[in-house]
Amino acid sequence: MSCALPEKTLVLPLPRDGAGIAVPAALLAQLADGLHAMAQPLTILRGAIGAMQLAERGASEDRRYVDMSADQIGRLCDLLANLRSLLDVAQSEAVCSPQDWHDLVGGVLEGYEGDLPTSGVRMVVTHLNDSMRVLADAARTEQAMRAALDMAQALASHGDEIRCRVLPDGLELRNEHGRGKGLNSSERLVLSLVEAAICSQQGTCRFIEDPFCLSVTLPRQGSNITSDCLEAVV
Amino acid sequence: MSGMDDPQLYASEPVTVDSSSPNQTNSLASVSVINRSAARRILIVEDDVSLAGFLGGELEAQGFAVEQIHDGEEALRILEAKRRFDLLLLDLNLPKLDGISLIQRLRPTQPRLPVLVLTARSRVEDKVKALESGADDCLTKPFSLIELLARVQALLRRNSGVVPNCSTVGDLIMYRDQRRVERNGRRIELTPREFAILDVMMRNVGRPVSRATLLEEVWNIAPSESATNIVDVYMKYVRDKVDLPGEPRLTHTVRGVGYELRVA
Repeated sequence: MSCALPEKTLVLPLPRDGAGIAVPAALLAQLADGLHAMAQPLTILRGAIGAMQLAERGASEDRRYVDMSADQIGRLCDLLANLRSLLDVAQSEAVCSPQDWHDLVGGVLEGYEGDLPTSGVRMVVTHLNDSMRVLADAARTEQAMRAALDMAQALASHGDEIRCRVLPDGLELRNEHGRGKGLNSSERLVLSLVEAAICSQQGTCRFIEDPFCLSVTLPRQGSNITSDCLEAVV
Repeated sequence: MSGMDDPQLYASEPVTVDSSSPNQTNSLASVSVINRSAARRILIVEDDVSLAGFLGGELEAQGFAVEQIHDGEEALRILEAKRRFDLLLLDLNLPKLDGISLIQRLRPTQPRLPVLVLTARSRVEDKVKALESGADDCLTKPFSLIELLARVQALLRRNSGVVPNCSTVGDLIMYRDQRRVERNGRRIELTPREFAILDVMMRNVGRPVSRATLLEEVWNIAPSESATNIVDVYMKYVRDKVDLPGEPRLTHTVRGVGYELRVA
């Protein structure tokens, strides 16, 4: 029996049962993005540790390098967690069940609405009235929403207003002033995670880089699921 | 153990830091390979703001004048605006205009600017492509800071044949490659900034050097009244170390202009 594989896939052997898994080229590219992102904090960490090995330093220098190292280790942990999540999404099926969309997304938005004091960014949330029931994996959707909201904030500048529209079956994040900031490899990894999590539920994900606009939708309950996940428009 | 971790690389020729000098960060002050920096200007083009900041801080601590840009288009704009830099540190994965395209567009107008590519792409093909596009050297992240500094120095050395290693005025001698200054056999310990000032002065022996020139050469900032004060402060540090009581004065104030180094 033959099994057709998508183009540009690698088959990795699984040692336990001898079966193979197909790794799409897109996933490989996303993992490579993750490795690229990790190279930045690793470089700083390596430099900071090297500097701490010097004989002549003051206590304040030590403190600075220790703090710097801690920050970079935190970044690395976040990146690893995102890589892990990306692989989890790729390796396991979404467990979708009917959900009230506004209930699902409402809990996630609670921590984000209003002024974000540390960044000087304001998030304005508007709800369209008619919430639909969608077929969603609640945990995976919440993870994707949080990642999307974090990315919208990270790409915003002081004084920007992020407009968050809760659609009947999705969410749109828009920052009209969010011009001029390109995605770095860490942000591309987060975007990949959002896309993968939403697309694994047969939803759609659309991203426009400049000005920033990220919109996702999930399939409505009872609808025929035929849509493919849209690619990001970058 | 990596090269960065090798204490031997940090061991020789420590720079004595003058604690009375303000605003000195001396993160790697005892790194010997950095001591020829003398306010060379480096443009860092790196989209990771943290990494750019870290590299900028460490290079500035060695006396380099550093600017940071986080996207390719802005970097090209600055470089095409005829801003003079002695070296470009360039990431390849940049928003708006990638590093390879930036080099290709830069080379027709700035064929001699040394370009050191910093990349997280470890494939040989990527490095070859960068070098073929006009980069002078390539370093893969995560790299050792000491290796970066050594490569920066090597590229700058390759491009600075006109500045002699050794300069003298009277009994004052400067050995640039050792970052060593002596007067009448007496070793003069200078911070990187003070060394940079004296370096500019020694390249202009017998000619007045304006405060504006020193600001531009040493600090890479535009002249302003408040900024020129810092020149005077640092010049006093240099003068106090070079001209001890009883020695013939070599550093002179040229009223309304700046300073001059000459034998009385």
